[in-house]
Amino acid sequence: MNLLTHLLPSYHFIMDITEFDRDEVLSEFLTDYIDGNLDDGERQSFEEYLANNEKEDNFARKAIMGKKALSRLARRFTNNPSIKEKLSSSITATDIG
Amino acid sequence: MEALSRAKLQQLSDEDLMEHFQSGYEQAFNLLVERYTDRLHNFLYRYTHNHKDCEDLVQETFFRVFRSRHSYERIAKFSTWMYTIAINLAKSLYKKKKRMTTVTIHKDPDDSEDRPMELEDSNILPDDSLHEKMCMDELEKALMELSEDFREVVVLRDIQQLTYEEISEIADLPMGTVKSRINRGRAHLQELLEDHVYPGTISA
Repeated sequence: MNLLTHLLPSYHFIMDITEFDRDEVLSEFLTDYIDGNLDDGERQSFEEYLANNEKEDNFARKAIMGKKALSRLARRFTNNPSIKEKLSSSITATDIG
Repeated sequence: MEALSRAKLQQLSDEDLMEHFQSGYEQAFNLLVERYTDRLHNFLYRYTHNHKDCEDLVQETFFRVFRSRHSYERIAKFSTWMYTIAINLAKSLYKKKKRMTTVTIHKDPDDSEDRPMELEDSNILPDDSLHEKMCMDELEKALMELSEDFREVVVLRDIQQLTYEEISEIADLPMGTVKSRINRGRAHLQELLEDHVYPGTISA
């Protein structure tokens, strides 16, 4: 069994293993790229790398889109007052104690 | 410790409130509950997808905070300590439920009625609220299909907006693993979403 599939039991169901799984520095770059923490030079180099590596480019694209989807979900929950109303002051030390 | 007015207490950091609480000032605990009830509920909802479970888990988390207040040490952020308690409770509940049920979330290929909903419809405007709700439902569904390992970290990062350091502490994982799991979790979520919207187009 591949080391990665051993460490991450569900991983082999997901997608091809990419260089991001083998190279921690590259994985750091991807994280910083997605978070917008690369400077112009680094970003350009990383985008060149992606342009020349289809599998990694595909993975990065999905990760970016996945993050955007999660941001939409986060906004929806943040803007949903019903949860807050439902729970406001429902738990106090007196209830617990 | 000197008694403080509610207004003054509200200005204190979580850690300061915890210190007051440890000194026997229960009003400080009540303020922590007020600060974190909805955040904790939202966090747990994304983890459990069940409001009733969330309410129970939120209560149980605050109960544990109340009961274990003297084991809290200021070297850890209060929120990290509390989220750790919450996530452990959520995991226990998940394991308990898993033992109690054999229902699978996988689709039955032989059931012609068991198909993901087709979201693409040119008659529905992208900003239509119903469409938006349907998209969000699909998104929540996809999130729940992520394995626990991935769901935990993407929820902590992209929904709760915790730092990588906090997530590393909560999930008890090295930073590199946290980052790579987050990236994989996001990419996998996107694949699931594409599969929901365009079923059958994603290769295994």
